[in-house]
Amino acid sequence: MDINSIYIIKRDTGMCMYHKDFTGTAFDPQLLSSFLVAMTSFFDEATRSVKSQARAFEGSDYTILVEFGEWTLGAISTKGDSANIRKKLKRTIEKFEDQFSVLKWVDLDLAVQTRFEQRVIDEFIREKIAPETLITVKSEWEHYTKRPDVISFLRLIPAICAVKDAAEFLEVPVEIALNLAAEALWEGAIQVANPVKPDDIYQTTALTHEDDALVDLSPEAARALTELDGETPLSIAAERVRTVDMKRFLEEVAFLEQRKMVELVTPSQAVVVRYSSALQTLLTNFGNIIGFNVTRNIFFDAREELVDQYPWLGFVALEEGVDIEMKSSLLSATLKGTIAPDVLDDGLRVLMQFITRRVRDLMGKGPVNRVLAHTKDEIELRFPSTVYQIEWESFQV
Amino acid sequence: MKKIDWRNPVLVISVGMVILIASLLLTTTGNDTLLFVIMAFLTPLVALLLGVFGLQIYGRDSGSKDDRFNAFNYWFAIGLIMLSLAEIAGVLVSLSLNPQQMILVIALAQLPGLLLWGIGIIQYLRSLNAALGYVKPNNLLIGLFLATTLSTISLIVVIVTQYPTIGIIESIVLSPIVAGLTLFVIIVFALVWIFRKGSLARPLFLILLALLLYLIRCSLWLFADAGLEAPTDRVIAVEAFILCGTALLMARNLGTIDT
Repeated sequence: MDINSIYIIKRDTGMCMYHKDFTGTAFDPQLLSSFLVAMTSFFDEATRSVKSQARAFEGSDYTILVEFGEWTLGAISTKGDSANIRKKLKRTIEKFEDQFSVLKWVDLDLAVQTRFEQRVIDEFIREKIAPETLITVKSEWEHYTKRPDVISFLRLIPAICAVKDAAEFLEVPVEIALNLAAEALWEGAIQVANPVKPDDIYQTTALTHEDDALVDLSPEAARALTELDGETPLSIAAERVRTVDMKRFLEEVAFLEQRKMVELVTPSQAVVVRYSSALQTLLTNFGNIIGFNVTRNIFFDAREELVDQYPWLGFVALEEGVDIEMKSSLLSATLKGTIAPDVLDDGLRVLMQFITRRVRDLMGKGPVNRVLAHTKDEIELRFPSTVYQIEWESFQV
Repeated sequence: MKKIDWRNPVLVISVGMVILIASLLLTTTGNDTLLFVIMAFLTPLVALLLGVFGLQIYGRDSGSKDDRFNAFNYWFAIGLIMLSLAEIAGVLVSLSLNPQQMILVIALAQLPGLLLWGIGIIQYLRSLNAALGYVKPNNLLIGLFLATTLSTISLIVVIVTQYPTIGIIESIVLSPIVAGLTLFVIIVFALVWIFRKGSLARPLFLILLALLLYLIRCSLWLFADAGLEAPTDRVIAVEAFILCGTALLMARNLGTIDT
């Protein structure tokens, strides 16, 4: 997620109540807030709309996303529009209005910058930190932070280490180490890098197709490029290129990522890939027991029940037998991030629940739960770290 | 919503009941010869009709050659057709050969049909095991092979030692059939038990009953003196075929919502 800066602005006065710059490229808060309030008022007037219409403003290498609260307006400067970032911004605005509701009526100094920063850390920073995340402490970190807990944390840990190793070293729970690392990142005292994992999904970028792209690449890296299609987890890609050393394969992918020849897929796309693998395996296992025709009928009945609530499910279909097909419209929406990952997660989870409930009537509870357990084991081989992001317990009958 | 077609299974079961009642009536009134003649025509005819009907349903494109449940029903349908041919051969052979030769020829004629049933059951069991993950696939095949071999050898040994009146050739020909059918009964019973709380258990239960009746029939050939010539032999066969055919028709209704 490439966020440059975030602003929360009071709509009627145009005053910027909160702002945070992540990359040192922020606009002047008051300048930006005046611009946004003026432009949104212009669009509302021009369209004679009661509900505010303006959503985004594009620059050459940035986009300012705008979301509206009851009496505030939130803006984020980011690389590109995505439903995921918009959801986070919307949540941030709601939390701000809830925490500082008195500011709707009066302008007071409520130490907003310091009091609200934990919410912003939780929303935008915390997700970048996982137990495997590598922390690199900056050489003069003492100048970046004044927080006593962060100072204690950074003073004791090695210059480069994983968060879980830091937790072990300090003998604290991993959750505390994660929060401290998030605060240190917020202060700018550390840099983080998430190691490439076997269940990450990568896709090639435009740089891959340049003439000199493959120069200096090892044969393994060049072969890996052919498998990174945005739908295959690295564990499967490694099998396909017949690599014997998984660690080396992941290093090759990390090298390609550094050269910007590959990039992680969007969170929405990752959700779709993970769920479609799980759904495919589940349908195949059910089909092996009750027959493919029956399984297809169950799938289409379930989809018909849910398509009113999740219209995009209409783009999930079955090809021959029980082979899942995600139509290109849905795939391109996930690529662009126009459907939020939690919406996809919700819809696909409910679809799988419907299917398991129907199959329970045919097979009984025991076999269905056993198939679910077996399916989870198969998916864990492909997505060892992220398999539990699917709520398997909710499918139990 | 698709409508469930209950007419065909009910019709077939009704025919089975009528045949059973008629057979009982004819047996109790001493009309064994009449019963024998009627069943000589009816048994192969029922098997052939149900087999062809089953082939019409499951011989059509199932959507994938990997659909093992469809294949299971398909093999049972073809098996019925093969058994109908075996029944016809049995009738012709019974007119000319002595009882001992008759049993051997009929048993050998039944083998292809029973083998096809066996293929359907084993294939379905393998795919079920792949989905449920009970046993490693290789261990399953080895287990089945060992069970069949050991039970056949054990049965031959038991017959030779305990039933010396039964010919050695008869026991060698019929023991694998009885052992194989016993294994099928055990497997299908296990399937019925696994799916006992679901509607999939219903057609499987009928298949189980069909296999059980056929096992009784083959056991009577082996152990009873007048097994093949008894009028009840073909009554058992036709009821087994009817149960099998009803199962095929019921399986077609799986997954459809009752309207």
